Amino acid sequence: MSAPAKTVETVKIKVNGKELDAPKDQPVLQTCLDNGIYIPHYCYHPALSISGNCRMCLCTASNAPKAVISCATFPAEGAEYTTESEEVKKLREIILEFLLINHPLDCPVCDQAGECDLQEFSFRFGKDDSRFEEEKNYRHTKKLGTNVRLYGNRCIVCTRCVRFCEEIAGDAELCVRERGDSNIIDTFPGIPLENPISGCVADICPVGALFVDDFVHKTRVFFLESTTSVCNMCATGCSINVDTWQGEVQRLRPRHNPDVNDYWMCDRGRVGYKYSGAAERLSRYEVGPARAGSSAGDGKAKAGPTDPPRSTRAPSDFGKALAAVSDRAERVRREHGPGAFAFVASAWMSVEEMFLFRRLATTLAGAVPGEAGPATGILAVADGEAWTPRVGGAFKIDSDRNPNRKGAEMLLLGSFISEPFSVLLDRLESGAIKFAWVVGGIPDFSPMDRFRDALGAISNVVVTDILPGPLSERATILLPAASFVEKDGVFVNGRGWAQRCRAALPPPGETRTELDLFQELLRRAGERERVLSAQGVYAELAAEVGAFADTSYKTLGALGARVTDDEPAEREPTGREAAKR
Amino acid sequence: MAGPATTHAPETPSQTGIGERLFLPSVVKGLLSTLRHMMFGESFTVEYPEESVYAVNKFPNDENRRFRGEHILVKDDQGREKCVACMLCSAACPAVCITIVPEEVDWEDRDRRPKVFEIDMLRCIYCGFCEEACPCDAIRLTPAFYQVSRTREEKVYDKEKLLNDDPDDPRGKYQSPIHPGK
Repeated sequence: MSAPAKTVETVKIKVNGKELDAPKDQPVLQTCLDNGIYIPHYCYHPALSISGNCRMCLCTASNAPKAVISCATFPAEGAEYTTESEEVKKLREIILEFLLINHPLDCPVCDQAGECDLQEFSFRFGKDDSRFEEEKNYRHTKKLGTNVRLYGNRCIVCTRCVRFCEEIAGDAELCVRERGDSNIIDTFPGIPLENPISGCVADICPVGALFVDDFVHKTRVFFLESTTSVCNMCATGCSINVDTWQGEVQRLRPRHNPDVNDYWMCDRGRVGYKYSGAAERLSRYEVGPARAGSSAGDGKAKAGPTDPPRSTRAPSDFGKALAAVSDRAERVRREHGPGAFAFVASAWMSVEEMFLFRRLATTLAGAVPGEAGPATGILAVADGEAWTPRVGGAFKIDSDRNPNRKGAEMLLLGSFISEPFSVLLDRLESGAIKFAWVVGGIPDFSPMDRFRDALGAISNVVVTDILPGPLSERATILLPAASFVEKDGVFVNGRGWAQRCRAALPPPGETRTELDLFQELLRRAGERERVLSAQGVYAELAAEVGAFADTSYKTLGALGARVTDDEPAEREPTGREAAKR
Repeated sequence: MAGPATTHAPETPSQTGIGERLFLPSVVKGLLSTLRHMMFGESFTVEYPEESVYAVNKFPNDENRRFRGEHILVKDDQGREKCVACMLCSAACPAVCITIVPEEVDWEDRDRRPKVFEIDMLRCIYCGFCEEACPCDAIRLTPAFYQVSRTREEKVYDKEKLLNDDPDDPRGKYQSPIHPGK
């Protein structure tokens, strides 16, 4: 889907006696990797230009007198390449012995241990001893920028990070300094590594030389359990792996997805899991009495409108809180009709949750023909700064800081939300609203004062949120919610790619996911037989919402799929393609 | 060939003399050896619990060091823990009884040590895998085996307890190099 069917010119080559069709403009190494023939390599990275300095991918070719590096060798018609001979084995041993000459035995304290190419290749391809008897040299350990730390001793100077900064991030902050065995990665004086995607240098570092500061000395990678997911910090929606250990998220790592984020993610997203493990996370269902005296109508007349009202909520549980929600909604519907309801969704909900919330709104408020329906709106974070690398390229950081605004537009706008936010505010302030349900789920969210004050004067305010804040302070019924690392769901990024987010951890405390919450309420209202998984809800959604038709969790797979009809944006060339021009 | 098949190897002509074939001299020899140890030899058993195993050193050359008892964390020559919190012991531990939280330190020779190092002795099965996994010779199993405590909490040994180097302590005295020359 990413590129129009382009005929790739191929030539016939033989690798280890196996005949392959090799694309002409692709190095033999990549062709081998694509065909399941593994050749060890350090400096080669599919998104970066070819450097050919690590020499690890040596193989023998029928058309060359000496061994060639397969990363910089392009296939010749009929040529035969050998990657598994005694000669190649010997060469790899020699190369590794050289690479390890100055490498310290830091594995016990090195955070790369367990996912380190040097460790792995030494084990698989290396010699069992070293003949080096002299003293190892010393190279600096320093912070290259706020996020990245360099352990110079462990570096093998593959220059992946240098090329990344030149070709992908575009600011070229890194360079190789000194000569010979003193070769070392460094920044230029006074110019630290501060681009918004600087953390990626740690991902592409094949050894333990570069780290994201957040992960240093935290745990060991061999303890981590990975869950494929979507980053929720902006509308780019990078494919990520959520690495967890002992019930905590330890780090987020970008996952290769050529249509979304390529191999990269931004530094802001990389620490975007922090709030999910915050100690103050809401984890208890709380129910308080309906706020009295609010029927006077003028919300602004209350003393100190910006002060949070004193909480009168008492601890409750899932069942009782839900019963309270439906009882009060029932009472308000009987006394005031559907026009007394307000439903405020959030651009941080998954599409399944939006779908259920939409249905729940109709169920709770009911509908009387000819009368005004419930007030509706959507919460979203203000736009931040967009970022595109100076050199161009596929990766960009969206200015939209909401993970699922596109999904909200597709599911809620028009059908559910038909009026602008100002109309919602007016209705909330008018005093006619007796029951408001606000879904937050946005970390560090500060709603506009008018919205906040209006909520403080409404008699029944149900708030679904993850962190205490201005919303939860004004709730009469508080329903804790799951963060993105704790729930299953589909998020649609700014360019219309729907991707699956998977639960990596259970929600904190007694919390149940919103998916359970909404479905349980619908079930109690007789709208649904049983509580389904996210996959089941998505199937319902796909049957009902045209844009999602013909998609399922299975077709979305790990990389997602486009669900909008808009013309896909022309994919800009990746680093190597750009560098070639 | 209808008879039962022979399963025995064909008998070889005996190489031994009549004395050995009678066994009697050997039996007497063995009994004499037993008698000698009984009358004049040193006893190898300890009258536990009346007698303390730590007080009586029955094994001067070996000090029953192959016995796997409670752990110690070894100190280096500067009195700091040798452990670098690599967590290989807790990875190797089949009973999952080792809890480590690493911490960064600003030392010349290493930049990491355990902030928390706890062994749940009630869970430990004394297999010694932690000792084997340790790349820094930082954790060892000592012959100490007194397992008495009044509360469960006492049996979760923290870093301070594991680093004990009190020579009067049953574990602490093994802080002195167990493997000389290492």
